[in-house]
Amino acid sequence: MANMKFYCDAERCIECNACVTACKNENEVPWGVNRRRVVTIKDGEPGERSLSVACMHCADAPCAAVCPVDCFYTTEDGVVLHDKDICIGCGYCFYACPFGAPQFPKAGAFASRGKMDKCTFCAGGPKETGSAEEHRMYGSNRLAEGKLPLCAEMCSTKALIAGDADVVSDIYRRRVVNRGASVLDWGVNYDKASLRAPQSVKGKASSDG
Amino acid sequence: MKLKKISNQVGSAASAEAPQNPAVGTGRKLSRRDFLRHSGILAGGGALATGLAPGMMRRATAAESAQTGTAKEIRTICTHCSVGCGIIAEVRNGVWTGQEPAFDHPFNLGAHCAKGAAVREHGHGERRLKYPTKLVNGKWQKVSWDQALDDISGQLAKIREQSGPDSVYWLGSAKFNNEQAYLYRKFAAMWGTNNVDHQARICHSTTVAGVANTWGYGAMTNSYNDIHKSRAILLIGSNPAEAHPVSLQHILKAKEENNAPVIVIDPRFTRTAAHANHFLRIRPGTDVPIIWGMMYHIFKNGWEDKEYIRQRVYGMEEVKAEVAKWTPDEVERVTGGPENQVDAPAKAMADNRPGTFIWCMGGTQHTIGNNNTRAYCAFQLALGNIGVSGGGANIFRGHDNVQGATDLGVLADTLPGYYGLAPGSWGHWAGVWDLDPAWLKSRFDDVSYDKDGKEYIGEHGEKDKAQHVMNTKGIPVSRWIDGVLEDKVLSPNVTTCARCSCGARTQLADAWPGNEKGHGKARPAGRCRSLSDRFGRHARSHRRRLSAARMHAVRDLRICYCIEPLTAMARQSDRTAVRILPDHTIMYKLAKKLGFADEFTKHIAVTNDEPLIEDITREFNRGMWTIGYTGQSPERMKLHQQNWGTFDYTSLKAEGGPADGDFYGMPWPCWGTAEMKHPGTPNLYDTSVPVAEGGLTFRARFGVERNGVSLLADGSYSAGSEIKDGYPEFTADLLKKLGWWDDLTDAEKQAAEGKTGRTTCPAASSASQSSMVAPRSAMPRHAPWSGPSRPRAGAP
Amino acid sequence: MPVHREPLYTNRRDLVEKYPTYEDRKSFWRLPTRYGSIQAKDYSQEFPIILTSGRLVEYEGGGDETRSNPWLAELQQDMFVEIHPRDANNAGIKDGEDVWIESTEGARIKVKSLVTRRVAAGVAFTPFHFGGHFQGNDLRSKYPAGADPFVLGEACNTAFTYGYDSVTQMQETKCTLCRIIKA
Repeated sequence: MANMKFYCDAERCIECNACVTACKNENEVPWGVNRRRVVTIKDGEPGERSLSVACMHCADAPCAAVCPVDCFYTTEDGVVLHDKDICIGCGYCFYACPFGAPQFPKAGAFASRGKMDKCTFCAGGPKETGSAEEHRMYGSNRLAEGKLPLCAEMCSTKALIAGDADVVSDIYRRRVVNRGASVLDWGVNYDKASLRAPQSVKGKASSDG
Repeated sequence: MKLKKISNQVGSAASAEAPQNPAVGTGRKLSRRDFLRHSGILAGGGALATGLAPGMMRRATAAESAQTGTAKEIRTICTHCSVGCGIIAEVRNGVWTGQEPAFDHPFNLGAHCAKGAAVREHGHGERRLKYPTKLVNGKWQKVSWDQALDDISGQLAKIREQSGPDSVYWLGSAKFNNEQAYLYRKFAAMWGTNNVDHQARICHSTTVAGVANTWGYGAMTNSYNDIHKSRAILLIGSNPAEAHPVSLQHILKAKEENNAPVIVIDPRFTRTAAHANHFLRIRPGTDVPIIWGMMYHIFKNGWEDKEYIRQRVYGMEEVKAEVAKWTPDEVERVTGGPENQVDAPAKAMADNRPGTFIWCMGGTQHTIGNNNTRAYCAFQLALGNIGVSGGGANIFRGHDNVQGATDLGVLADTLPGYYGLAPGSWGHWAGVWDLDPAWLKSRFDDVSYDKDGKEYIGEHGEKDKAQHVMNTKGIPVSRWIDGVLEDKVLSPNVTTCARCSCGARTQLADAWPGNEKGHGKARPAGRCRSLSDRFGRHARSHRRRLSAARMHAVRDLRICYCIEPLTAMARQSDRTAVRILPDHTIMYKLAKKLGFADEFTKHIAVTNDEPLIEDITREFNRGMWTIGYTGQSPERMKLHQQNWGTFDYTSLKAEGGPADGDFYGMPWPCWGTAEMKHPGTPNLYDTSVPVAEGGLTFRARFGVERNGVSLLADGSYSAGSEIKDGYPEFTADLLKKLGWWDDLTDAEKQAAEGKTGRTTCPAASSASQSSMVAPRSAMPRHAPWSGPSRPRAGAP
Repeated sequence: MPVHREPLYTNRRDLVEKYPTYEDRKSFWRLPTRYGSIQAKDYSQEFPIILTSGRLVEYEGGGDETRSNPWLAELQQDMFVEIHPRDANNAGIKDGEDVWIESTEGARIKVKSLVTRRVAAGVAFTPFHFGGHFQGNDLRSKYPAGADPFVLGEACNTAFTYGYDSVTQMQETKCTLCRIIKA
C-alpha cells in the first residue's frame, strides 16, 4: 500500500505551466476549472520562486472534516477523492482547504455552482475503473494503469514529483545532497553563490542614470 | 495557511470565479497570471457555455471506444520550439485520444512545457480551420480543394503572365519538416523566383551570418544535452525558462551537478534570471558594449586561452584593440551595467571552463544584430570555448525546424545546403533534380541586374557586372511588404503582386502601419492572397486594414484563401475528420495546376498527389554535400526514432542497439552516404575526435590568407588527421597535391576536375569516405573570426 | 569588426555622435534601406520609453495556433505591457489599467498595464504573441466563422518601428521608443 504525495521543488520550478495544461489534456477539465495551478511569489523580483499547487491529498484532510454530506474518502493509496453523486456543491471544502484546491464548474453563489471538482491524483473516482463514466465525471485513472499523474510525468524540469511519499522524499533528498556536495566540490554554494551579491540584482538601465 | 484561505475566500467571492491564486491574498500586487481574475470570467464563461462541449464529447467517445478499439502509439515531436521534445500520441479509431510522456526520448525524458503538454488539442481543436475558405464579398465561404487550387493557380498564372514570376512572393515556414522545406524551395525555384523566405529571417538570420562568418557553419555548435558538461552558462538576450522551458532541465542539471554558475544578461529580470546566480541588467541594444566590457576584464587579467587563440583564431589582436576602448566607465555609460558588476560574469566564465554561451532573439533582432552575434563568438573564442564539449555557442532557435528550413534553403539568398545563388549552385541542383539548367533559367524573368559592391542598382550599368536575376538575392520576408510599397526606380522588377504563404502567417511585416507613413507610395494594383495558413487568421482578420489602411495600393484583393495544411506526423490521424492536406501535397497539387509537376517530382514517387517523403529525403541527401546532409537516410532516421531509449542522455550517442555508435538524429555534418554510417557530428569543430567519429575543424570559407597572414589553423587538427595543420577548401588541384587524387573514382575525378569542394563536393565525400578506413579529416579548419572579405560580412 | 551602433530610435542622444548607425543604402536586397536618416531625428522628449518584446511560455510565434487552444488561452487572456512603477506613477497609470502605447511612427496599441520591477525604469516590455486587435479595434468578426482564436489582442509589432539588420535585413523588434499613456 502506497502513500501517494506530490512535492514541488522550488529550485527547479520555472512556472512553465506544463503541469496545468497536462492536467487539462489528460482530464479534459473545462475552462475555468483549474485542478492545478502555479503560484509565484516575488513575481519579477530577485528571489522569485514558483510552486505548482493542487490538492495535496492530506493525510488528515480538512475538506473531508468539514464536508456536511461526507462525500470524501481516502483510497488505500492515500489519495483523497470525493463522490460527485453525493456532493451538494456547498463550498465548505473550498473554505477549509489551505491550497485552494476545490473547484466549481459554474460561477454564482455556492450551491448553484455545481459539483465540486479537484485533482484526483489521476486516480479516477467512485465509478467502475476505466469506464467512460468515470472519465467523464472524474477524469483519467492513470494509477489503475500503473502510471503516475500526468502533470508530474510531464514536468519540464522534473520539479514536480509525484509518487509514494518514500520515493518522493528519497528523490528530493538525493537532490539536496547533490546540491550540498557541489558546494564542497566547486567552492560555490548552490543557492547563495558568491556571484549572487545583493547589489548585483538591483541593476539599472542607463536611461535612469 | 489560514490567512491565505481567508484571502482566497474574499478574492473568490468578489469575482465569483473558481479559487484564486493563493498568492493574491498576501497583499502583493497583481502578477502576470492574476490577469485571469480580470477578464477570465467572461472569456471562461463563454467557453463554458459554448466551447468545450465538442471536445468533451470527442473524448467521451474516445473513452468508450477504448473498451473496444486498440490504442495505436505514434511517435512524433513537439512543434513549438527547437528543443524538439518527443511525444507519444495515442490514437484510437482515428482520433488522437491521449498523450503520454516519451520518457525514453533523450531530449526531454518525457517532459514538456505548457505548449507541449497541450499539443493534442491542436489536432482536434474546435477553433481550427477545417477546410479551405474563400473570401467572397466580405464573407468567408467554404470551398473545395479543387476549386481553391484552380482559382489560385489561375490567378497566379495571370499574374505571372502580366508581371513576371518575381512579382509573386513565396513565404515558407520553419514549421515544415526538412522534406517540405526542401520541396518549397524547389517549388519557388521552378516557379522562377528568389522571392522566397521563412521565419529564420526574422529570428536568427543574424546568427547565421555572424556564426558562419566566424567559424564556417551557421548552426548551434553543441546541443541542449551537451550543456550537462558545462561548468558555466551565460545567457544573453535569451529567456529559455519561457521560450525553451525543457532546456532548463539541462541547464539546471549543470547548475546542480557541476555547480555551474548561471549568468543572465538581459534588460529584463526574466524567469530565467530568477534561477540564475548572477543577473546583469543592460539597456536594450547594447550587446556589443557589454561583451567588449567583459572581454576588457578577460584581456586585462590574461584570462584568455592564448594557445587556443594562437592555433585557431585569426584577428584576435584587432578585437583586443577594439575591446581596449571599452573601459568599465564607458561600458556603464552606454549599457547601464554598473562598473563593479561587469567583471564578475567574465571571471565566472574564465574560472569555470568549458562554459557555454546561449543567445536568442534579444541579441539578433537589431539593426546591428550581426555585430552582436559576432561579438558573442569572439567572447567564446577568447576563452577557447568553441569546439569543446560543454562549451560552444548554443543558439536556441524559436521553432522546431528553423535550422532545417534554413539548411534546406527556404531563403531569399541561397539554394538548399547554403550553395548560394551562383550559376554553379544552380548547375549543382539542376544536376540533382536531373533537369536542364536552361529550363530552370527560362522559368525566371529574363532580366539582369548590375552589381555595385553589395548593391544591385538596376539594369543600366556595366554589362560585365550584370547578374541574371536568378543569381541575385530576393526580397527578405521581413520586408516583403516593401516589395509592394517601396519605390522601384532602382529595382524596377520587384513589385510584389501576390504573396503565397505556406505554414506561416505574418504579423510582423504586416503590422507596421508606421512604415506607410514614412515611405509608403501608391503602386500599381496587385493582388494579395494567402495560400495556406495553418492558423493564419491574424492576417485574414486584417484584410480590410491591408487594403484600406496600409496597402492602399492593393485594391484588388479579390481572393484571399484560408487553407490549413498539416505538418506534424501525428496529426495524420485527424485527416479523415477534417478536410486537411499536408503541406507537400498542397505543393504538389499546385505544381500540377501550374504545369511543372513532372519536373517538380521527377525522381520522387507520388501517390494520390502526395509526394513520398522518403524519396524527398533521398533526393536532398544526394545534393547536400556542403554541410554533410548526405548520410541521414530515411531508414537511419526511422531507426533513431524507434530507438530513442538507446541514446545516452548526455552524449546523445547510442550505446548498443540497432543504431549503435550514432549520435541522435545524426546532427550534420553527417558525411558520405548512409552506407558509410558516419555517426553525425554532435559538437561542431571538436578536434579531439576524428572526423569519422564526429569531430570537425573550423571551415575555411573565406579564402586562406588575409592581409598577408595565413587564415589557416596552425598546429590544430582533428584527431587522426593526416594533415597536421589547417587546410583550405578542397579542389581538384589540392587533392592532387596531397596525393589523394587517386582515392577518387574515375567518375568522381571527372566531376571534380576544375571545381572547388563547395559546388560539387565529390572531393569532400571521397575524403570522408577514406576517412572511414584511415581517418583523415575531410574539412578545412581555421578560425578567422573577424569579418573577412566576403560580401556578406557587412560590418566595416 | 563588431562595433556598437546606437539603435535607430534611441533616447541616448549623447551617444549618437560617437556610436552612429549606418548610412542609408540605396539598394540593399533589392530595396532602399534607411539608417542614418531615421536616427538623425530626436524623438527622445516625446517618446521617452524604450520598448522591447519577447515571449510568454504559453504561446508561440504570432500565437494564432496557441491562442486557439483553450488549455493555453486560459492562462494568458490579455495582451499587456510591463512598466516600471516609476514610469507608471509618472504617467498616472495603475496596475491592470488599459493603456495606449504610441510609436514614433504614428501607430498606437491598446493593452493592459502590468506594473512590475521586472523591467527597469525607462524600459517597457510587451509579449509578441497577440493579434486580432488593431489600434484599439477588435477584429473578431473578420475571422472565418468558428475559427477565431479564444484570445485576441494587439500585435506588439504594430507599435514597433522601422529598422533592419545591416547584413541580413532582420527587423529591429527589440529596441525602439514609445510613449505610454492612460487609455
